[in-house]
Amino acid sequence: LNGYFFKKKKCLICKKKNSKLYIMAKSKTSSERMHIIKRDSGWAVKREGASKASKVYDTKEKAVRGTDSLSKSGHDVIIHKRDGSIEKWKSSKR
Amino acid sequence: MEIIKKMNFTKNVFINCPLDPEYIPLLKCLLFTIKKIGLIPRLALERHDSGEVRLQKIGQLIEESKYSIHDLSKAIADKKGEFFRLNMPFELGLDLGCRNYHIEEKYRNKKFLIMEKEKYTTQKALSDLSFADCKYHKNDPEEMVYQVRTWFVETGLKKINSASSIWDEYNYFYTNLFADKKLKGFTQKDIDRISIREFLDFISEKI
Repeated sequence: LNGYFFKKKKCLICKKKNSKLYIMAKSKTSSERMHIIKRDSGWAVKREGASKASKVYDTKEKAVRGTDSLSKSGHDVIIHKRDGSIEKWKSSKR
Repeated sequence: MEIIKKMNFTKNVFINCPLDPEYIPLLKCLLFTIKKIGLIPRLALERHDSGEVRLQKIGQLIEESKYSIHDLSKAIADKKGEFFRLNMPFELGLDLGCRNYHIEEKYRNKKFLIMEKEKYTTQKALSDLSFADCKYHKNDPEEMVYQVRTWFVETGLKKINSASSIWDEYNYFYTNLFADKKLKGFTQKDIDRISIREFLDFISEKI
């Protein structure tokens, strides 16, 4: 699929280099994704595939602020809604 | 595929729930949880054939499923002027009838989970159910995972992952769905409004 949609990091749909879609497809390695997931006790920050959450914050805002540095260190940060769907996908800035 | 589903009586879970837009996030999470436990969710929306009589389809699903989840949370109107729904209690009645009166002995082992929004609300409206030990989800998908998982353990199923791990995996699953559909040109709105049939197909692809 990657090969079909993207050639030389250029998206064939939006014609942009390093587009958000390209980055999203590229970050299929689950360990590169950090999730902000609703918990009974607050909002957890958890690396995909890890057995435990890195940290649990009492509010979503604090959890989002707490992951600011992660996107600079090569992680995509996926912010989930209360129902598990996607609110925002912050792509890695690397 | 349809034949395999019919043969899987001990793995099929009939889902009787509201289909209002506000209930769909709960339903999606429920479908994922059932698949993750290793069972097969069965509901009227799994196929759409305008020529098929709905009641006949419901009866068929009931007869093909050992387990049933009946969500009666919409059997009570949320606000003044809103109609309460009779479909869910009606289908629960059909299912109870099948268990108690069907000529075939295998139906006596049918297992029911009755869910409601808040504790004891349904029993106030339907006192015939005062025998039933209902579980409540508070309209919260995470709570839904916990309650459904607990119930399956109580019915005797073993080796089921923890509720938190199923909930986290549901969040990862939704991320993959999002990425996959975005690549195919879906907008956020398209993804949020994806049909239950399509959602089920994606679950089957991934689990």
